[in-house]
Order: sequence, then structure tokens, then C-alpha cells
Amino acid sequence: MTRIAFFIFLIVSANTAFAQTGDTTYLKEVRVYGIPVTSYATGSKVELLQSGSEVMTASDKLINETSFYFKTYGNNQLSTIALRGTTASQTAVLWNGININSPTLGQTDFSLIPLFLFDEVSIRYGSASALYGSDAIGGSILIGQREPLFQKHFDGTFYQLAGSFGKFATGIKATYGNDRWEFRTKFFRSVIENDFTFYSPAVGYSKTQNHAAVENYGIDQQIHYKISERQRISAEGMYTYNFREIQPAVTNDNANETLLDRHIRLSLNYQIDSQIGILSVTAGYVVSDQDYTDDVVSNVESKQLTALVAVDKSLNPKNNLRYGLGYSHYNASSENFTSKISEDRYDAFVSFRHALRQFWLINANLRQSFYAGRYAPFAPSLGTEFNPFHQGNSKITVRAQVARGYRVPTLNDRYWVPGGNPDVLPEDAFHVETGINWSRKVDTWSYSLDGTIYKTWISDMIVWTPEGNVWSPTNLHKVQSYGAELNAKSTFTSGQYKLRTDFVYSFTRSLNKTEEDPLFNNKQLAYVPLHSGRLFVSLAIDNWSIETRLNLTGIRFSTLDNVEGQSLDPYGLLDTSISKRFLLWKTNFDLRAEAFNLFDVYYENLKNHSMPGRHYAVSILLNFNNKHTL
Amino acid sequence: MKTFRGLVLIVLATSCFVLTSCDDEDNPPAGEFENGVFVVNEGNFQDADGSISFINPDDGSVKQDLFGSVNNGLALGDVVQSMTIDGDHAYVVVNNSNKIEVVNANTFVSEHTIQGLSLPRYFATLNGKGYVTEWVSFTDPGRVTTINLEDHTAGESITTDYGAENILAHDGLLYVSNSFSNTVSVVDPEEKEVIKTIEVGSSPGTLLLDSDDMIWVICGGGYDVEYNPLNDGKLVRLNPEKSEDESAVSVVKAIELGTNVTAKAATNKAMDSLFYYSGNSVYSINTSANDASSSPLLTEGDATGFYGIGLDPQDGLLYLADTKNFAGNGVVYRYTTSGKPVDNKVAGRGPNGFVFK
Repeated sequence: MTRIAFFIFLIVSANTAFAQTGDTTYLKEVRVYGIPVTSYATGSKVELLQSGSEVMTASDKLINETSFYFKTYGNNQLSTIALRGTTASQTAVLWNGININSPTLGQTDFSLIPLFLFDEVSIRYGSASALYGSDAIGGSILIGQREPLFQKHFDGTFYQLAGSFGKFATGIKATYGNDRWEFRTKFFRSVIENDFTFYSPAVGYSKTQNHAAVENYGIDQQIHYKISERQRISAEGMYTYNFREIQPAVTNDNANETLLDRHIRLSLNYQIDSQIGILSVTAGYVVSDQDYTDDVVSNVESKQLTALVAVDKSLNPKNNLRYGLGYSHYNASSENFTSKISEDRYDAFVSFRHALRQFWLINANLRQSFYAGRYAPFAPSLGTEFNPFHQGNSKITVRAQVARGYRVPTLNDRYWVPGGNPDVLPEDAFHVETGINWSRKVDTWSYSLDGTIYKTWISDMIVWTPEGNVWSPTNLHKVQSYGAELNAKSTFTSGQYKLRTDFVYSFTRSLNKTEEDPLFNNKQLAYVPLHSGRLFVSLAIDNWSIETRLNLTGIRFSTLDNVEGQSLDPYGLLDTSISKRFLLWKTNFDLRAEAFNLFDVYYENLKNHSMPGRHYAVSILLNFNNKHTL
Repeated sequence: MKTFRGLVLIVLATSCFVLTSCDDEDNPPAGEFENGVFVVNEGNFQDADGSISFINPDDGSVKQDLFGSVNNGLALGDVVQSMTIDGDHAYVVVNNSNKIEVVNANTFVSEHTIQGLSLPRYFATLNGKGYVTEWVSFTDPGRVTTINLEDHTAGESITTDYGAENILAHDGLLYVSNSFSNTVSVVDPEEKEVIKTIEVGSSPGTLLLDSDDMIWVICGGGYDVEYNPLNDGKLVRLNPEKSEDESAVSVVKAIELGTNVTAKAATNKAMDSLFYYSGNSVYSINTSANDASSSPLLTEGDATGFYGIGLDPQDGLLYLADTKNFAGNGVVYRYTTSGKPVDNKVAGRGPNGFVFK
């Protein structure tokens, strides 16, 4: 079967991801084209989302496929993550190993990450600054491309969607490869008028959104060249454009604010399998250019140049070592900076992995960062994973980790005029978690159960408070976040029938522990649902497939005092789709009809910002693959 | 004491009942909010969770979100800037929703919505007409717009200066402070023109009348290009006295405050003292003084930073609003005019001002 764009949602522990095909968790030889950093995430929970070929935002994808909470300002509007009850700035987002959280704002708007341009999204739960650097407190999201095949082949993909509220999305991908080269080109464009009608109880009558249109397009070009069997070079260049009218609060009319975002992302990577190990050198350049227009245009621009050098050495079958250095130079301009800000950051990191036994791995990571001439908190982490039981297709994996996470204050925190505080300290987190995974395959039935509990202590949380008439950031808050995650999935195959179910439940208790403020002490953080869950069922019969997804989100408070009247109602969203695949002219066709929010529930993810009711989309995906015949 | 008061109530109630001389037609209870203190809570920008709270003068209890609780959960809107009571109507100005909600001042039942405004701020009435200040935008000069109180429509506008903010109707004229500028505009509403523009100081805000019929305006103070405060906050006293030349309004005196302050102030009942604040410290000054004291009347250690001030003309208590950083509902602190703490109450989110009725 070709790479068909289905939602494939894998929950795997780090080492099973790397040993999926093997029978043992014993150290695998790290291949030159592997993702080296993965193998040092022993003990942490990892999920891999295949992005497939849909033209959609990373925000929509993650909302569909996980139980994470996103604070979305409307349909296809600004969307920030709250992973395990942390703030939007406490999730590291890495592209080809480069942190792409905005250096000025410190967070990522996931509606600006077009999934069509990326092949893979990997979610690393929990604090892990030793591996991913700043911002890795609640977790880390790694986005990137799959490895080149270096085989003679040609792939073509065409995707077209038409949906409610004037939505049209087009995506085109082409890959050509031979034993030395691989070229990939991707282009997408997506527009939505977003003129949905909603009935908000706060307004009391039906209104039609008239200021929420979005235009989004982007292009990605990759060139991979195999210099020799042991050397490779990869270049990638990406440009994305996103223009949107900012959807106003439900009570507001005559909105006129717009946001224009342009991103350029360039990277060059060279890898060589040499005597000292696998040496990987990456240079990256990321430009983020944003125009916020109210009556006047406010521009914020940041440029980031990053160089990473890492060596991954398999010392012997039991021991792996990885070490390296990172350097980033930031430039940022904004009318709220007195002049152009420029800053250098340095990272030194080392990781060590050891197999105590055939069934028992331990892993230690260390990182020290320096920013603007200061030390970031020294970040160690320790993880372990073992298989108390492993027989045939049945396996139990127990994992545990202890880690420190930190977040370097943003450029805004330190240089914003007025109020920026150059002396504000990094946020600091200590994290423990443990989990268990049981997977089993019996004839035509495979299933797995995964449970995790965790606790994170966050101190020196940065909060802007007024001092006199000027707001300024201070390390005011402390937060304790703990929770449990449960995932059960199963696949049952019988002849032409395939039934898949996937259930996720998250319990997230994230408490403000700032005694100085008795009104808010011991209260749940804003926009963190205590309960959230997701149930996915798909039934495939021959070439037909019916998928149903139920997302449940509990009550959320919009303020820190958790009072009645400052909360958002719980909601359940039911989406369903039917699709048919067939092969014609060497091309896979996938026709799909989808309905979202079938119950037509009025819901909000941010106070008084409406989300759309029931809506529909139809799409066609053409996948031309000529791997074997060209 | 309590029982005595109870007894009086019973006697009164019984006498009403027995004698039936209490004329219900003459003295009907106009509504739950006939007397008391309204707290204007602007809410969090873009969350549209602005509200009005009510402090009951009898027992000090607070009722939250009057508009929502009386009107079936409706929201007032985004950034509830101010409220003005005129007769039986209360005019609630909702800045970022570009509207004024007109409600019954005694029951808070929604009556009308005045639409089509551009970042409205404050409202005043004069000779049966309403006037609302509007910022218009951050690049255009602000204005005063006439509101027809019969059909609740916005009419003609008179352009003043950048950031048209507070408005005071006095002796047939309208005084408008222009907060993005350093001026007060004197508007003749009949002629529909600005008859004088007076330079007062950076970021003028609240306009107040004192016992000598002089007008005070508080100026918050300016910032240099690096946003460092210039510490040039001021209280400016204007003489509105009309002479032959109508535009003879003049500056009587300007008191340097030596610091930047929030451009909000209140007077006491006698209207011979002014109260203003910076951060979580409150200052007072007599209207006859020529210099401001650098030592505060009070400093509230528990407050994150004051955001609004008011003085109850009935019991003479000083009200200060603390937003608690907008992280949740704010708190109202009450003091005597000598700065002695009385108590505090939780209001709504982002309390910024008070209306006493």
C-alpha cells in the first residue's frame, strides 16, 4: 500500500518507536538517517502523528488527534497550546532541531503551522530541557520531514477540499528521487471566508461572523543529496504567508484588526558517519515578520540564525553517547523596543544511554545554556525504561523520568518598552513522571493500553504586573501541575473489515501556588480543563471507511479565581467522515465527505470567541506513486 | 438596637397595611438598585466580560454582573468603560464594543443599545441631550457625539483632540479632556463647535467641579521616547466663568504632582478636597493648596495597583478599585477620607470606577 493519507495515530514509547520491527528493546544501531535525538528520550512518553496530505493547520490536527487544550481565538484564528496544564510559552516547538517559538512572544501560534508542508509531528510529553532546551516544560512538539529514501521514484500528490463558510484548500506535492538525489516540492493554499452564523447566549440573537476571513499559502522545497554511503546533505527552504481578519469577541461589531504573518525557514544539514560517530551539522535561519493592523500597522520582526553540531556515537552495543553545541543569534525589531535587539545564545549538551540488561535501558541527559551573557538553569534529566514482560507479541513497558525544564524570558519580557525587565529570571520546572504500556497482538486483534501519571513543580513563573502605571514582568507565580493520562487503542481485522478504536482521557490539575495572592492561591489555572478526552472509531470495509471522532472538553475557567460566571461550558464535538479509495491510472484516489460538530454545539475555547456550529467539507486526494515502475 | 430597628420596621409595615395611607402610586419601590454603589468592571480586553457590580448600602453585600443576571445572561460587552446615570436611565459605555447600553437605572433591565460609535469613553447629559466622547481611533482626533435620548441614535459629532476622554457638562458648556494629547476642549453644544482649547498637561483625564465652581482636571503625565515617565503629572484648576468673550476659560493654577499618576480623581462631598492615586498609594489635596504633598494619604499593601477611584457623597467613604492584575475578579477597598481602612469587597473583573446613587 502506498503512503495513504489516513490519520494514523501511534502511541509508542520512545524505544518501541525505534524497535517497532524488532523483538527486543536492546540498543539498536542508530542509523545515519535516523532522528538521533529520539533515542535519548528514554522514559518519556512520545507520540508520533503522521501528517499525511491534508491541508490543515497544526492546531486543527492536534485538536483532532490529541486531548490537548488549545486556546483558539476563533475558527482558523490564533491558537496556542496548553500542554499538561502549562502555558503556551511552556511548550518547546522545534523544527529540524531549531526552537521556532517566537523569540519576542515566546510561543507558537499553531494556526500558522501548515501541516501540509510537514511530514511528521512528534509530541514529547513532560519537561525535557536537557534534550530540547528552553521552553520544554509542559512538553515539546517536534515538526519535520521524513527521511529521504534515495531510491528511484516519483510521487505526486494533489489535494483539493471545499467546505462550509467559503473554505477552499489546495495542496500539491511532488517528490523525485534516485539513488543520490531527492527533490521534494510542496505547495498549498487555503482560504476561508469564515462567515459562520452563531448564537451566543451572551449576545442573545444570531449573528454572522463578518470579520474572520483567512488566506494562507506556503511553499516548501527540499533537496537531499547522498554524497556517499556515509555522508548526506539536506537543504530545506520554506515560506509561509498567512493573512487574517481577527475574529472579534461575540459582543463586538465593526472589527477592523488584521494580522499578517510571513515566515521564512531555511535549513542546511550535513551528516557524516565517521570514526568519531555520526556527526550532524545544522545551520538554520528563521525569519518571522508580523504586521498587526488596527488603525495603524505595528510590525514585529525577528530573525534567528542557529548552528547546531552534534555527535552521536555508538560506543558499543550497550552504550550510546551524544554530545554537541548550539549557537543562536537573534535579531528583533518592534516599535516597543528602543532599538533593534540582538542576542546570542549558546548551548552545550550531552546525552548518554546505557543498556543495563537486555530489557532495561537508562538514559541521562545534560544541558547548559547561556543567553545574553547569563546562565540558564542547568538542566539534567534521567530516564529509564524496562520490560518486565515480553513474550511474542505481548509486551509490557514501564517507563519513568525525572527532569528539569526551564524557559528563558522572552525578548519582550526583557526589552519591552515600557516595563521590560532585563533581570527577570528564567522560569524553572522540576518534573517527574512514570508510565506503563501494555501492548498485545492476538491473531487479528491488537491492542494497547498506556497509562501515565506526572507531576511538575514550576517556579519563577513570569507574570506581568503593574508597578505604578507601567506593567513589568516579575517571577511571581508558582504552579503545581499533576495529572494522569490514559490511552487505550485497539485494531481488529477480519477479512475486508478493519475496526479501529482509540480512546484518550486526560486529567489535568494545574494549581496556582502563589501564597502572596490569597484570592488566586490553590486555584486551577485559566483555560486548563480538568477533564478532557477523545474517542475515535473507524470502520473500514474494503475500500470504504467511516470515521467518527468525539472530543470532550470539561469546564474551563477564564480567570484565576475560578468563580462562577468566569467559566466556559464543557462541550462535546462529534465529527464524522466517510471516504472511499480506489486505484485508477496508477493513482490512488481518496474521496472524502466530512461533517464537523454534528450536534451543532455552540462552544468557545476562549471567553466570548465563538467557534462554528455544524459544518461540512468534501475533499479529494490523488496520490500518484511510481516507485517501482519508473 | 437591632431589635429596635426591627420593631420600627414592623410598626411602619403594619401602619402601611392598616392605614393604607402609604400611597403605592407615589412611592413604589423603583427597583433593586434604587440606592447603592455601582462598580464599573471593564473586564479583560477582548474577553467581553465587562460587568457592573452593585454594593448594597444596607448590608454591604455585593451583587455581581447586574446586566447579565437581570437580562438572561447577556453580556455587556468588551471593555465597559463607564456608566452615567441620568434620571431613570443608566448609560453604560462599552469601549471596544463601540456601543452604549441603556438600562433602567433602578432595575438594570436592558432598554436600548446605541450603536455605531467609535471607541466611546464617557457620557454626559446636558439640556435633555446626551454627549459621548469617542477616541475614534489611535490615529484620528477624538470627538464628542450627540446622542438623541428619545430615539437612542447617535447624531452630529464635534471633533476635539486626540483621545477624547472625560466629559463634564457645566453651565451650558461641555468640557472634554483629550487623553492622548495635553488639552481640554471647551465645547459649545448649541453652536456645535469647540470654542476653546486649553493646554493643561500630558494625558488629561477626570474632570471635576469644586465648591468654588472651578473645574479641575488631572493630568497623568508624559513619557519620553524610551517610555520613561517624565513625572510631570498635574492637577490643573480652570476658571469656567463666562465673560463677554465666551471663550475666556482660563487656567487658574497648575499643581505639579512630581510623579506620573493615573489620570483619575475624585472630590469629597464638600468638594474642597481632591483624591488621586499612583500605583497603590492614594494622595489628597485641598483645593486651596498650591503644592501637592509627596506623602500619600494611604498605601494599600494588598493592592496590585489601583485602577479607579470614587467617593460616596452619602457616607463620605473613599472607594478604590484594584484589578488584581486582571487575573480574576478585582477588589474594592474602602477607606475614610482620612485614609483609615474600612473594608474591602470583591467586585467584577477589572474594576475601573464607581457610580454612587
